[in-house]
Amino acid sequence: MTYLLDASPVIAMARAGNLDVLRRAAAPAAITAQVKAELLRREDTTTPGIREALGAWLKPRRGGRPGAQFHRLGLGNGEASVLASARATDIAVLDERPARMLARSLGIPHTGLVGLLIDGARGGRITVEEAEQCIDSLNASGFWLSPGLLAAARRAIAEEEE
Amino acid sequence: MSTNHYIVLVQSIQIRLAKEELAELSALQDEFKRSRSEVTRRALAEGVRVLKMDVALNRYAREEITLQRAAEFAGVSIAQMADAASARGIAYFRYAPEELERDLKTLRRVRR
Repeated sequence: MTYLLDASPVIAMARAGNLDVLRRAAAPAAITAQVKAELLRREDTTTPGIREALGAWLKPRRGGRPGAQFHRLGLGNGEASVLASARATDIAVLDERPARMLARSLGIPHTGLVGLLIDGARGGRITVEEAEQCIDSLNASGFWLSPGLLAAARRAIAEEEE
Repeated sequence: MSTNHYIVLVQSIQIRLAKEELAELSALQDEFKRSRSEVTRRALAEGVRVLKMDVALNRYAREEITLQRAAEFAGVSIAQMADAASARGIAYFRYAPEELERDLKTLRRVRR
């Protein structure tokens, strides 16, 4: 199984300085060429960490080019490419309703970043403290969680600590 | 000596402005020491940028488009779009808690 990452979760984790946690939680990971382009589209504070990850573990692979229908459904280039190139052995990492709804209707297994972190802690790929710290730092950034989802995430993590 | 030739496609439009709006443009013209056309073009470009960001944020708030699509439309980075959405009180992770449960079940299933 490979975690096929969209650009937004990578940027969200880079923003909070948690790319190394993502590397372990989402191993093995892959991205599409379009997601790579999306990650490097504009230089900002996340770019150096992302470049380092691209040179080390975040490797693009060949995949299908997304059709225009995905854009009409509200998706960006990266998300569209994830859905267009997902294989049976992939799990797409997508957080937003338009992309998740489409993944469901296409029968593509998917998870959000929060679920990936909690599952990473359950599977021992990252520690419970790391999952907790990542969710807290995401929540303190522009990539914050709605109160209901934050409470559910904290409950799920607390179950791991018990 | 070589000469570069540039073809600039320019179209003229006519717009009606209120006296106050014209006065605002004239004041900016004085401030920037630029022609009325230049100042108007700059104001228009800035206005288009703001309007595109507004449209992108509204569509993103209604979950019609993703953050990435919104960023592409507004011509900013995903991180910049996230900050703009956050400033408007829009959470990035906003699916129902039941969706998180579903994600965790999916992950358990595929890891077996």
